[in-house]
Amino acid sequence: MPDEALVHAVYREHGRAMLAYATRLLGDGAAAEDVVQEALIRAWRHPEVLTNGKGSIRGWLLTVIRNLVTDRVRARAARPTEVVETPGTSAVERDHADQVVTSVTVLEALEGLSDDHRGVLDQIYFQGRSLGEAASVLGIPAGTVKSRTYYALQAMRRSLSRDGGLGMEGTA
Amino acid sequence: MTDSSIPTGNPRAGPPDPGRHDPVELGALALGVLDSDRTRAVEAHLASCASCRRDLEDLIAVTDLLGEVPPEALLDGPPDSDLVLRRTLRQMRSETAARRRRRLPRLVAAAAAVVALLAGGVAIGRATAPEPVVVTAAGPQAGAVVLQGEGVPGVSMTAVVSPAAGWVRVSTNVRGIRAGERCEVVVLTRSGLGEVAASWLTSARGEREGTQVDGAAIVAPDDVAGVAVRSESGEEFVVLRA
Repeated sequence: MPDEALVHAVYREHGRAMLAYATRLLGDGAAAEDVVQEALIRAWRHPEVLTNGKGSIRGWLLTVIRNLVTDRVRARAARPTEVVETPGTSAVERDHADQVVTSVTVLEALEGLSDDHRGVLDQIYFQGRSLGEAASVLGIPAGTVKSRTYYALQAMRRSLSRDGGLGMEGTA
Repeated sequence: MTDSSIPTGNPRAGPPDPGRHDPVELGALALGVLDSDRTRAVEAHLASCASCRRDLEDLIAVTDLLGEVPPEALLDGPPDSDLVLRRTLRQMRSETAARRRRRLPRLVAAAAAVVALLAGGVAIGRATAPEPVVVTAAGPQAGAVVLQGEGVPGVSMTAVVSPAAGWVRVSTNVRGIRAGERCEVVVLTRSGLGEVAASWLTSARGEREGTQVDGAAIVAPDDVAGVAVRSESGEEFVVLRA
């Protein structure tokens, strides 16, 4: 069944990121699995989102997870006392939505990088490694890591300036 | 994208005193991984170079934005367990069982029809790609084959077939199929069978700008004869031979 192939493909490519993200947000492995399952079902019901060729599939999936987590946390908090939504909570949600939009845009820019460029930013920024450590992990000279970080950041800057809306206008 | 393609045409890439300072060190400085000797040297240069200062500010702004991305977003591959996948498939099947069952992959249309479509032109490579092909986040696979060409008038496709152990991933970009068509990507085997790798509903935007459709099929990599797109009712839109 083609639908199953699509879900298989999504799980194979993005499953680890989805589950790790949901687990960190919820702090609960079983709840995280439920959320990932629900996100996969949404992907199955809306294959056009996965296949329209625009934007980041992973960004969409992680945004769905984040929204599902928010719904759960809110439902959990509301259950005991039926709290009416206050202006305070909606402000928090708006900040949250802005943050999701930003992270999806930045993730798209990251995905648009070459593997080499994304690799050095992953090592240095996300894994917190030094130039020397990154060089030995990637099996390339430290000088190459250094120059790639520069070109990777420049490529990110160009990409984010082109998309606009993230305070990067006019910097390219 | 290669390193050497980046700085061309950027007037700021060359500082006014070449030899004393290499602009690529600004990236490491922005990320806080430049060693202390080089940091001092670059900072001394920055004191007298406004263009490098602007460059550095921009790079620091980019590193700030990286903080918006959850670190998990860079993890690739499936989780350690298939548990969630199996649960999801069970839920899908029970929901689908209540509706119309979808058809299983069928034989491809007659060889004559395929040949007629092939006359439209098949090329290997991406020389005529109207836009860059976007391969998904996992990155290119070793041994991937890129197919590109035209089908029925107005329809074009780029397909990347990446081998796996006994099956293939297929990443396609299809343009020109009229909006509203229910389409399938089919991986063709040498014996003339077809395995559906993905399906989608075309949109007006997809007709105009192309639709990216990724999938996978259990066809041994060396048994792949090509990739086709057809409607659910069997109309062939484009067939590319590997």
